[in-house]
Amino acid sequence: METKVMIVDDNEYIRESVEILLQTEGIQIVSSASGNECLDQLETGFRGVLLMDIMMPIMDGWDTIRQIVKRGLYEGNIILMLTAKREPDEKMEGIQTYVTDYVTKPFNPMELLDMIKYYATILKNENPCHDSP
Amino acid sequence: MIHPNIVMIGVSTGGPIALRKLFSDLPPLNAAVIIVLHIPQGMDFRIAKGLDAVSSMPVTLAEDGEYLRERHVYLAPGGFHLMLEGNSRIILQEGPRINFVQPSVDVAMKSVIKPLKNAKIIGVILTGMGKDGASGIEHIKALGGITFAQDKESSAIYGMPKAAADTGAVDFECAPHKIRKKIAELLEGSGK
Amino acid sequence: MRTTKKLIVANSLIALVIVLSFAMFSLSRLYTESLREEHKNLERSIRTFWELIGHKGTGFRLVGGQLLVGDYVINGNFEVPDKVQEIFGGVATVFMGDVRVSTNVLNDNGKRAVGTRLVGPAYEAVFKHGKSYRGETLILGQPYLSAYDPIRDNNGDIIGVLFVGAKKSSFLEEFNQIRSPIIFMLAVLLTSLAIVSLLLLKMTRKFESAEANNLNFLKTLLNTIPSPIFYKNSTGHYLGCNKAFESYVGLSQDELVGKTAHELWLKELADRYQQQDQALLNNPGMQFYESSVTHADGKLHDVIFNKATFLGSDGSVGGLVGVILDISERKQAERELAFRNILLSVQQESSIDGILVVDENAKILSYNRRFREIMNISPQLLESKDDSPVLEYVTGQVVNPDLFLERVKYLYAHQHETSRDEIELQNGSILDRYSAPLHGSDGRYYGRLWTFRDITDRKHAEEKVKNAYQQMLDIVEFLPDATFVLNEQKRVIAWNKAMEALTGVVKSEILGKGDYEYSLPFYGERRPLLIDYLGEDDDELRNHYEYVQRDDRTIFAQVTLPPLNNRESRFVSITASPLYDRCGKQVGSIQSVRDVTENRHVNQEKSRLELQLQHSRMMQSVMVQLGHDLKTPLTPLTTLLPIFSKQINDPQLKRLVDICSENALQISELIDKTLNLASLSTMLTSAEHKNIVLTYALDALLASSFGDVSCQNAIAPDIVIQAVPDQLNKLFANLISNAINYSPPAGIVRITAEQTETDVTIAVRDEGIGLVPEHLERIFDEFYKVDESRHELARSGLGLSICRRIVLNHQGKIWAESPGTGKGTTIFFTLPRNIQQSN
Repeated sequence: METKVMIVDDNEYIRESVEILLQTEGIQIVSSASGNECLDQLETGFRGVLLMDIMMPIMDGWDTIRQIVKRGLYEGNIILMLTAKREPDEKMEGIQTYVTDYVTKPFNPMELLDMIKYYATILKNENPCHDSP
Repeated sequence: MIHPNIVMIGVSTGGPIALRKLFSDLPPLNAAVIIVLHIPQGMDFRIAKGLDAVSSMPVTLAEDGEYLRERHVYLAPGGFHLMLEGNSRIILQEGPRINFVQPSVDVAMKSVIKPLKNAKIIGVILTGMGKDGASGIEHIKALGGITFAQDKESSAIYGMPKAAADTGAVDFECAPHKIRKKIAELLEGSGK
Repeated sequence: MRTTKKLIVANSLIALVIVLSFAMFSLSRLYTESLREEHKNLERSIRTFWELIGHKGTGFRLVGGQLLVGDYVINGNFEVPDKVQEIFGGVATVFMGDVRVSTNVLNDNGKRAVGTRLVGPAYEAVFKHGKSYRGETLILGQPYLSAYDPIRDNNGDIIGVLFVGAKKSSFLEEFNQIRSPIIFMLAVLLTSLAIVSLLLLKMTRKFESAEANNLNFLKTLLNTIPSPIFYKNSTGHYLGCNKAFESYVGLSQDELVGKTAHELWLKELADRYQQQDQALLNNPGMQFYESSVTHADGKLHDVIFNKATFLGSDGSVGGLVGVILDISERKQAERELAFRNILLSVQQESSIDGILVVDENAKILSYNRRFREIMNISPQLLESKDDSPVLEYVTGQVVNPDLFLERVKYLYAHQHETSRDEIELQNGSILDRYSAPLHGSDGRYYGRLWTFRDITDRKHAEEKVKNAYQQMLDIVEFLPDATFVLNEQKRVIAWNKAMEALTGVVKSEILGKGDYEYSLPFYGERRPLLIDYLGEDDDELRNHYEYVQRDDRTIFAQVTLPPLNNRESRFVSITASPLYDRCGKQVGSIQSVRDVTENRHVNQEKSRLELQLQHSRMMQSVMVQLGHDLKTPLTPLTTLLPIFSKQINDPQLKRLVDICSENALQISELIDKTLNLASLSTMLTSAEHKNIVLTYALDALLASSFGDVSCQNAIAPDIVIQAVPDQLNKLFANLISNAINYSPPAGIVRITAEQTETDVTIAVRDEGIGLVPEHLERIFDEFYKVDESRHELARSGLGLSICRRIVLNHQGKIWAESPGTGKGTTIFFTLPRNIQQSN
């Protein structure tokens, strides 16, 4: 299974540069300019690593994640937050389980690639025997 | 009954990468290593496998009733609270969310008891949002354990490590690779 | 031939002895087992007797020559003894004193033996020693096991006896029946020895059948026991098990026999079993331990193993036998309890209330950190778990100890009451104290919960509002500044002493006056004062005043008053503010005036500084905002330029792109450091300071290596300072990386510390390039670099200024010393051992 990545950011230059960065590494990437677009993509079957901006108009990153969880679209995805600030955000309380990592802008492209690849391999791990006690 | 050395690690956001840093190049430890990571069900086994690939010790999802072995890493599964029974056995328990999360680091750390003989207890709080683990680390310190918190510089989110450090019960504040080195030193020669 | 015969005889003899001892052993075991069963039966019987008679009423007593239990007359009433007889067989009797009054023991005539007396050893035991009696007796020629218990009245005096006699069960008779054939068989075996050759065969046959019998018997016995039982030989191979074991683990005996633990169970479990077995075999006897067993349902069950060794035919340890007791349910309950306790303690810790829980004996069960903080109790005192020193301590803290103690004692005496009241502590805090009993679902009293909420602020606020108005007027009177107060109708309601002195107008002349009368002493005409401009905007105010500043609702202004009567022109500072009632409605206003003609210049300087501070705060927030805003547009640059560079072949063009890329990185690093410096410039609160063992903090940083430069931590472990951990780490990290950067190959960086009564001075010494005196001062300035030729991209020149900022934040000093160029540098800094609270 090929790894897929989605960048969710209202800034088109950020979207484009992340697209180019990942495409040069041969990673499939799709873009969403808003939380709603992201939800639409998930509804139509996208599964993979989500790079999510926090500060977006109308629906911010946290609200988007709440919607993802509420609509049962989380399974099969990993969510990484993209942010300019690195401070703990109290809006995150209650959904931190679903936020796997934090990436601070401007990111080091090599570190971001490394991170995405690692999470992609994790995501590819299939459950051998799902035996919850 | 013989108590094994125990290393208990509490971590949240930024956890998989921080754990990868902590466990790559970490020699097998004379201790049972328990990781409580805030993760939803369905993600837990993936993280365990990912960690297993870089760790020198086998990494498995903790199972209810399992006896702890040294040189083994246990990851708490999502959707349950993990507790230790007599420092030697894993108990998974359903229950309310604590500090907004399940598994909760506080619950796991508070189930640790004072070890017999010279067994060591090490508590570690890595990157993460919130303050889960702060009262757990106080508990471990009170038992005579050794405590670590990840430093601000290397934390993806300096929330949980700060809350832990603010209790005054943290012995060492440093980056994962330094925590790794220190833990290996602490457990050196205490094997059986 | 003779030797063979001898051998056969010898062998037969040995065999005989073994069979004999085995049979005797089994028989005696059987006998004791039967007897124990009988005694159990007897105890059950007399216990039932007590229960049945207990149902009739409570308390035995003698009334009018009759024995009563409650109001039930026992004399001549045979219901209860007959019931006992019906259930257990045998006989039952109630004695009043030593006389049978209710019995089903029959006399020679076949009638109930009422009126006869108790004699013999039972009488001695009950009436002389006040004890129960158990023993064997013959009743009507039948062997009975008998039990006598004394009946006592409410004073504890013996007023009667309860008796049951249980018939020896048929089991014991069966035992006798089994015993005779075995003994007979043995006799046959003995005689057969005389006729060696002929009887040899016969003997062998008999021997075999006897052994088979015995084994069969043991087997049956084992299978009747409901607990799972297994036995192994000394090499750890299973020899067998009972039926209960087969169904418990889901394996048949055939699947089990001959196998070892490792062939049957999970490795971890088998390891444990083997370890424990070996321990037992090495040290024969009994062994008990907790472990788990894979149950037939596939799950692990918690069990207690009960193991014992048995001797083999040669007298050495032959193996071991184990009994399993399943305790899964008990363990589950224990776990639930442990879990609840942890949840409770986590929840307690997050409560804003101080919580203390005591048990029914007033011993401390639990408390949270908040309780410790509110009461300022040392953990040692609480850890003693004893209520009285804690109560004593708390009593010493409250303002009215007698009343408090009385209340506490009352509540401990009245377990079921809840109560709530306020406690005032000597340190001025006011606590809302709530106390409630803890009842179990069965209504049992388990202890008491105490919660304490600090309501000092709320309380004080309430008080303040209540008395605000009157208090304000009282305070106004004694204010050193000339002050007056207007009501809603702009009439004067307060005019203080300082005002009288400033204006020469006495209170009685002006109180109650309106229509700008109050401006006359200042301007000589009726006109609005600052107090009348409260609603106006600042621009309007600036038309009238030289300096205007607004802080929330208060206006501060300065103005020159014109010369008046025989007074010179004065420069005054005026403060005016509206007054509100507790509902937020304006009820008046207040103005105070201070003559600052003399210190006008001082004031001007002060306001200039204030403006400067305001300005620098604004700059700081602009810096932070700018920093964050720059990060987003920088992201495409730092992301795309490296990719671009990789795809370019022309080396010159590539270099150009790399320069751009490196500079973008440098900008982003600068932003980080600038933000860092800005965040360090904000004030610290004392709560962020922690006690830190200096040498540990340093150790954590030195855990990794730094190329060929070695770092030596020479700080004594007893040096403790108060600092913000995160900042201290950054301080050390910056200084050490600085020292390493300037160190020669294989250089040594040495960190030492010395303490005085108040301070700790830390020195970081390198063997590097050193400094000339004119640089020593300036290296801590922002963007200052010693050696321009060593300009490195990654070093922005903010490292040491960040260090200085951190040290200043901790009220310390930082400076550098160097004997000269090439002779190394030492950076010194001081940190106070106890941080003073600063505002």
